Amino acid sequence: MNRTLKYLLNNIRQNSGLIIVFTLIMIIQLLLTSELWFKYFPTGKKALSQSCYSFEIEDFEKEDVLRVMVDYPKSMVKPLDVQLVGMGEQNHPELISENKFDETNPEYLTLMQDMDDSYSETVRIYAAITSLSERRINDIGSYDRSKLRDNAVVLLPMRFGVAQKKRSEFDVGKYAYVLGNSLEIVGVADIYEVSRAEYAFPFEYIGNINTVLKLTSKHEIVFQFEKPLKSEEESRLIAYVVKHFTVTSTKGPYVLEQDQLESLKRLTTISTLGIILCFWLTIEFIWYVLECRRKEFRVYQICGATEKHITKMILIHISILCFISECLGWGVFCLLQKFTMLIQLDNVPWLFALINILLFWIIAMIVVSLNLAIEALQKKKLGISRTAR
Amino acid sequence: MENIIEIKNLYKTYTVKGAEPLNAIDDLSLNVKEGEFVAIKGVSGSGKTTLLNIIGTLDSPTKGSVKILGKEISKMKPGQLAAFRNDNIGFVLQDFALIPYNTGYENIEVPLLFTHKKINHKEMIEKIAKDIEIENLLNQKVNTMSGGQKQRVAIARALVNDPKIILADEPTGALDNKTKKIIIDMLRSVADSGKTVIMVTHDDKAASVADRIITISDGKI
Repeated sequence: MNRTLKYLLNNIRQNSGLIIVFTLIMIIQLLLTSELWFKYFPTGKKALSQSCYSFEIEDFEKEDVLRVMVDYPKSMVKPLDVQLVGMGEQNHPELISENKFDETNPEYLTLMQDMDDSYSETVRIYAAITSLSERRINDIGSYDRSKLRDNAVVLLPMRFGVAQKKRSEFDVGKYAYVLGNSLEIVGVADIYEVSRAEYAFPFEYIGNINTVLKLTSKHEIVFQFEKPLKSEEESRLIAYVVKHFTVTSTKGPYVLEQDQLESLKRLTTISTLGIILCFWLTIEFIWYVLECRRKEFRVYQICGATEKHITKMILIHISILCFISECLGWGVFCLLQKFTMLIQLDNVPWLFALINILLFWIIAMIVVSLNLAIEALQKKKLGISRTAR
Repeated sequence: MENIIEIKNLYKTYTVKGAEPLNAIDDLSLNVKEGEFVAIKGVSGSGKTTLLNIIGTLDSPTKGSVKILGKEISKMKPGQLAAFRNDNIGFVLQDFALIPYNTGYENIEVPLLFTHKKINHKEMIEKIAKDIEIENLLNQKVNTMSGGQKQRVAIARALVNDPKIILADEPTGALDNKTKKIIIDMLRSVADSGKTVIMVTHDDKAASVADRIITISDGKI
């Protein structure tokens, strides 16, 4: 058998325990880093389910404004082309396309807005808000995605009041994602009525609300209420927003509460501390591995290996451990990402992957170098050569 | 017979911060002839192992001259020393210095991994194993061997590269009486085959097999 392959297989066999521990550290580190990464570079579908702020519609009166402030990181301030899409049974997908949109149709509300100077393009917002029946819910998935433009922000007003069960089965985030043509889906406004099952067509009073959907330069999604709502209608407006959205309103209580902000801050702190802990564990572990193998390296020394040989062997040894652990770690991470809601990242951005891989490897190499340097220094102090016991 | 090792006025001083410098070897001179079996005796801390490390090119002298096979080792660079060690010196140590999770074969092969000589590894290992009757240990993992078996594998490893000098540091220290005799006899026959053997030991019985016994005390003969 090829000697390198043999060495590799031996290494895996002999270090299976170490590899498992390394892999676990790697997975935890990836989970925490993805959490932080998402906070600063959000592009995820699962974000939609992360925070849900609900507002009692009955509390709103005429001309009240609810603002869902989309607090983008600077890197994401580029949704030049915004498309708001409402799905309803009279709302045929082809009408949403720019050319066929019927502005005279009262079922649709069209807003043409000149955006602030910060936008280089005029943003056209097409809002087509109509009712949505159960039947249509099932059709959404088959919506022709090519109708959506790149960088579209899909704001999807929906109502699932007909059957509570149906609503729970319906994953808003998921469908919004399905609808999007790009990854720039930042939020879903889900407007529905929860308790009045008889409202088969809830957008009747969505019409009353005169849902004004507007995207300003400050990335505000604004819901303006045209008429006072009937208080007996226990309607709610729920904005699913990614967690870095700030929700403000002309009505005081709808501002993101302090404890929610605190909770977000706490989460960030915990993630950061967790990552530091992972790095520390990685350092400790590699140090432990090196100490365990010191006797083995001495065997090589007495058998005629040079310092260069030994250093090379240590580097290869640690690199193999890192490589296998990283492969396993990334495998588990990708599976979790694909099949669970645990990870918020929509896909794995290459930069995120690169930073993680390099960080792990660089840390490993720094530890190896430090270990060798300290060992050499200690022996030099004692006046013995590096190869001697 | 020519001197294979020539040591003149050798000093090895260890300096620890805040303490007096310690002369582990203090003005020591020694010549060893080719094919000679020399036993070095002395109490713990007398400088035996330090001397062996210097002869084995694992440590460098503070002062003095150490010539092995006519080459002054203090003038050699680390890479040259490693190659010299690989070509000319075999080690047999008290703790066996074997890689526990590897087989006997893999352990014996280690010096061959670093040699410049063109050697058929399999043939050479099988020959050595046959000579010292450890063929049955080649595929056995070291951590499943007894002390005696481990030491025989270590001797095989020391011999595999056909070195001129075998350095043995307390080779029987971790063995029972019966196994001690086997190992000492084995080292004796190695010396009889023309190799120079230098053995550090506490054991008078083991030392009695040598051609010459040297006693070291406080770094001096």
